[in-house]
Amino acid sequence: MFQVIVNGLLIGGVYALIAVGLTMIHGVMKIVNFAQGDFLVIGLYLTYVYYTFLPDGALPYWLILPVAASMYLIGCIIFKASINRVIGAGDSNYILLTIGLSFVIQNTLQLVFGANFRSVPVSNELRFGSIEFLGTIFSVPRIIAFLAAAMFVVFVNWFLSNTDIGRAMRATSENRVVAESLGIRTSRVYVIAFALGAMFAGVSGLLLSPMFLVFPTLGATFGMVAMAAIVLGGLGNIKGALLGGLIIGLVESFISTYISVTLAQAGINLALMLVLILRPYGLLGVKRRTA
Amino acid sequence: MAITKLARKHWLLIAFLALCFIYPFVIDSRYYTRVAMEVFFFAAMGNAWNIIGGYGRQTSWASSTFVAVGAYTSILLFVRYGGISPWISILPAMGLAVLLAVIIGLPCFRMRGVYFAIATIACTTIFRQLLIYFEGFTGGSLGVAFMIRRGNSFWNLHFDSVVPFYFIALAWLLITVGIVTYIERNRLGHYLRAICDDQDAAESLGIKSSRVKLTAFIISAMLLSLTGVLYVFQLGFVDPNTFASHNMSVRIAIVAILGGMGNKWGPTVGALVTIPLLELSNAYLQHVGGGGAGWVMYGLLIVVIVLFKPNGIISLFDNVSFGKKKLGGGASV
Repeated sequence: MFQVIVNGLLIGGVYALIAVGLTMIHGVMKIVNFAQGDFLVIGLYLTYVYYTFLPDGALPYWLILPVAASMYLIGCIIFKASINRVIGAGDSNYILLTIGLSFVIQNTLQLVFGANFRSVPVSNELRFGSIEFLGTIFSVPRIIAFLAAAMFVVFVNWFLSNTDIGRAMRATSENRVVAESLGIRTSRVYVIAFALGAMFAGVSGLLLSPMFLVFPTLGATFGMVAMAAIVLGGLGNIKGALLGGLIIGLVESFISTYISVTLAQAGINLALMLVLILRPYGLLGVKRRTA
Repeated sequence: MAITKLARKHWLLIAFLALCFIYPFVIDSRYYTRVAMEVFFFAAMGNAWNIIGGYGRQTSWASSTFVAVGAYTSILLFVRYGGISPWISILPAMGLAVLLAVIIGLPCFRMRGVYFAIATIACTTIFRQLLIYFEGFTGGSLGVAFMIRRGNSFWNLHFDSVVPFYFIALAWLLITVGIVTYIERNRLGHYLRAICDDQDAAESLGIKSSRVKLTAFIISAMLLSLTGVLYVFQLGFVDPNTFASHNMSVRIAIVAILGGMGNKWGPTVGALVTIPLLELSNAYLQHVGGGGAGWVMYGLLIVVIVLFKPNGIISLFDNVSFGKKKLGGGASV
C-alpha cells in the first residue's frame, strides 16, 4: 500500500514537471500545446545523442545544461516559425497547429532515428538502483527525477515572483494590453515563455531517460497526461499543475496495482472528466466568467 | 432549359461524378481503386464530423469512438452470432452510437474551447482502454477478424473485387453530402451557425445551445457509426489502434478542417488531398525512415493550412461557383 503511494508520487513528480511547462505556456499566451509530449521525446533523443560524447557509464544528468539549452533554442525556433501567428486567433487554430506540429516532430524523429526502440546506455547501477527504507523500495532514477522536478518547480515559482522577466510574464498573463502599455514587450515574453515550456519538457525527457525506452511516438501518453494534469489543477496555475501531476501519478499507480495496467489510462481520464464536470475550472482554478 | 441551367450551375459536381463513375474502369487497378474508396469513406466521416465540428465549431476529437462502435457492433454480431447481416447490424450500431453520443455529449457540451477538446479526447481514451480491457468479448488489442469469406454477397457485404465497395462508398459519401446539405438549409444548421458565431447571443435569443449541439453530435455519431459498419466489412478486421485511436479521430477531423469547415464540399476536397498523400507515401516511401515521410508531409500540410489558409483548401476556389454561396467562414471559436 505504502509502496503504491510512493511509486505514484515519484512518477507524479515527473508528470508535474511536464505539466508545469505546459501550464506556463498556457498561463502566458492562453495556448495549450498539444505537442508538449513530443518536446519531451525530443529531449530524450537529444539525451541519447549527447550521451555518446560522455564516457561509458557516466550519469546522464551531466547533460542537463546542453539539453536544456538546445530545447530552449528549439522552442524559440518553433514559436517564431509557427505558434506566433495563431496567438489570440481562437482555440481551434492553435489546437490544430500544435497537433500538426506533433505529427511533424514525431515523424521527423522517425525519419532520423527510425521507429526502433532505443535506450540511453546508462550504467545498470543507475538503471536498476534502489534504496530500501522502512520496507519500501525507492527506485534511484525515480527519486532523482522527483527531486529534480521538485527543484525545478520551486525554481519556476521563484523565477515568476522575483525576476523582472518573471513579473513581466505574470503581467502579460493577467492582461496583455495593459502589460504592453506599461512597456513590457509582450512578444518577447511569449517567446521566452514558450521556450521555457519546451525546455521543461526536454528536461523531463532527460530525467526519464534511465527509466524509459525511446521511440518516436512515446510522447503521446505523456502529452495527454500533462494535459490532464493541468486541467485537473486548473489551467495556468503552477501549483495546480504540481497537484494535478501528483494526483495523476497516484491514480495511475493505484489502478495499475489493484485493477489492471490497461485501465490506468482510462482511470486518469475518468478522474479528469469527473473534475471537469464537478469543478470545471480545476481543483485550484479560479472561476471566471465564461462569456 | 431547366436542365441546362442546372448543368451550368453544377458543372464541377457533374464532372466530378462522371469522373468517379468511370475511374475504377479506366484505372483498372485494385490498389488505386482502393485508395479512391478510402477517400470516399474518409470524406463521408469528415462530413459527419463537419456537422458538429464545422457548422457548430465544436472541435470534437471523439469521432473514432463512434466509428469503432459501428465497426465493433457489426463485426461482433457477424462473427459471434452466426453471420448477422451488416445491413441489420446498422440499427444496433446506430442505437449504440446515439447512446454513447449522449453519454459523451452531456458532460462535454458544458465545456467550451480547449476544455471541450480535452474532454472529448479523454472520453475516447476511456472507450479505447475499455475495448482493450474486455478482451474476452472484443478481442483486446488484437481485435477481431472475419473468417475467410468467399464469393459475392451484397447481403453480407462481401465482394471479391473492390469495385462494388468503391460504389457503395461513393453512394454513402453522396448521401452524407445530402444530409449535410439538408441540415445546412434547415433550422438545425441556422442554430448551429448562430451558436458558432456567438453562443451567448444565440442563447439570449432563446436557442438552447446544449440541446442543439447534442442533436448535431448525435446525428454526427450515427453517420460515423454507419461509416464504421461499411468500413470494417471492407477492411475485414477491427482493432482498437486502427478504429478507436486518437490518430483516427485526428485524421477524420483533419479531412474536414483542411478541406474547409462548415462547407458541405470541404471534407470531400480535404479527403481528396490528404488520403492519397498518406496512402501513396505509405506505399512508395515506406522504406524512408520507417514510413515517417508521408506523415511529416501530412503534419506540414496541417501547419501550412492553419497558418495561411485557415478557411481550408476550398477557400482557394472561392471564385468558383459550387452552386451556393460560401457559408461559415472566419476561423473563430
